[in-house]
Amino acid sequence: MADLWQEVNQILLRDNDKLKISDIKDDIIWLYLRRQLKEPEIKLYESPKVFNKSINEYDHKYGLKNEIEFIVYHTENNTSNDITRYCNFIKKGIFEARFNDHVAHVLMLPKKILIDDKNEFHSLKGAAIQWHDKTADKYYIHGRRFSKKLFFQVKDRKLSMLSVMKIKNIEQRYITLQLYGIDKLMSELHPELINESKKGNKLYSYKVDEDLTLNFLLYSCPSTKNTYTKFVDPFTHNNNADKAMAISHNMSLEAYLSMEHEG
Amino acid sequence: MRVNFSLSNQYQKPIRHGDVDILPLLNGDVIPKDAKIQKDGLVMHGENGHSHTILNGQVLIFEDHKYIKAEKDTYLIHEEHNKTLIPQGIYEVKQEVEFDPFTSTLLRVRD
Repeated sequence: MADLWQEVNQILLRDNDKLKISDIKDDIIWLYLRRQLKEPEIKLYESPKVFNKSINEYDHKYGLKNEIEFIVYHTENNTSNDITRYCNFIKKGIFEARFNDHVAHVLMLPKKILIDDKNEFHSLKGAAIQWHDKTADKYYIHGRRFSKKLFFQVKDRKLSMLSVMKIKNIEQRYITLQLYGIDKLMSELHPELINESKKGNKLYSYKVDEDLTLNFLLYSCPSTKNTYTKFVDPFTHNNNADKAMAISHNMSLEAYLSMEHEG
Repeated sequence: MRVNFSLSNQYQKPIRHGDVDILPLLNGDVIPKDAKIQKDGLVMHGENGHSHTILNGQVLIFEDHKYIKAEKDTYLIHEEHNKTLIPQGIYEVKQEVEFDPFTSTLLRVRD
């Protein structure tokens, strides 16, 4: 399991040798001339932080109205050559661009992107999206984005299982639970199984202390088969896992059991 | 664009698509007349960038409520979930909720 989770399928490195800044600038000038606008000042950025700061400053100075949209795909004004050149322009190493009357702000590609076998951003060693200045590195585990702090807590297995259960985002919680293992959840907390339904929903109880007992569901998504956990209100489910599940899906037990379309 | 806000052959059962619940409008409930069509068909968008979207139907919004008017062959699609049929009818969209035992409140599931 651990090896599987460490796996990075592909590392996409920016190829600086193929990056032709002059071509990018030529294309930007072409875009402006095509709209009968003057050649803009072209600003290239390597840092998302500086890129966003610069745009905000521009907006503050000139207002938001003069942003230019060059290619609108549903209009008839674009020839196939226009579209092709525009697409090729984007592929030349641009991560994001913002065009205004006077200035073209262009954010270049990150230094490195790491992805898993499903082409989701992923790395358990560090940031999955790495920028040259490191100020805007992004942390992902199998496509789920984590804050830097939570990422390192998860990857270094610093969290107790109760802390894992408390992660607010259900997808982050799911990924962390998969990483730590359901077995660890059971062996560390020793929750009491209250009820298990034919639909595979399991309702557990875990006594934290004299004043607090947590009830939670362990269940699988019908489509992805991913196993999730969620806390449920101990005073509404009548010790029935399906009823707890129905309540969390905004419906009665009868309606939940009648469902024909689940995905 | 005008919308027909009621259908005679209303499907009676709920539909689940991941963390999204599609609940049939029953007992004479209808989509509010002032509901606006959401052209992109977006039903729900998650924090991780994945979206629940409909094909061949209409998503309508009124205040904080979202509705679906499903015609023949309306489907819910999502990058990670199975393509799911929504039988002809009118529905309200709700999001899965979970209990926060530390504040005793119900919260929309964040994904």
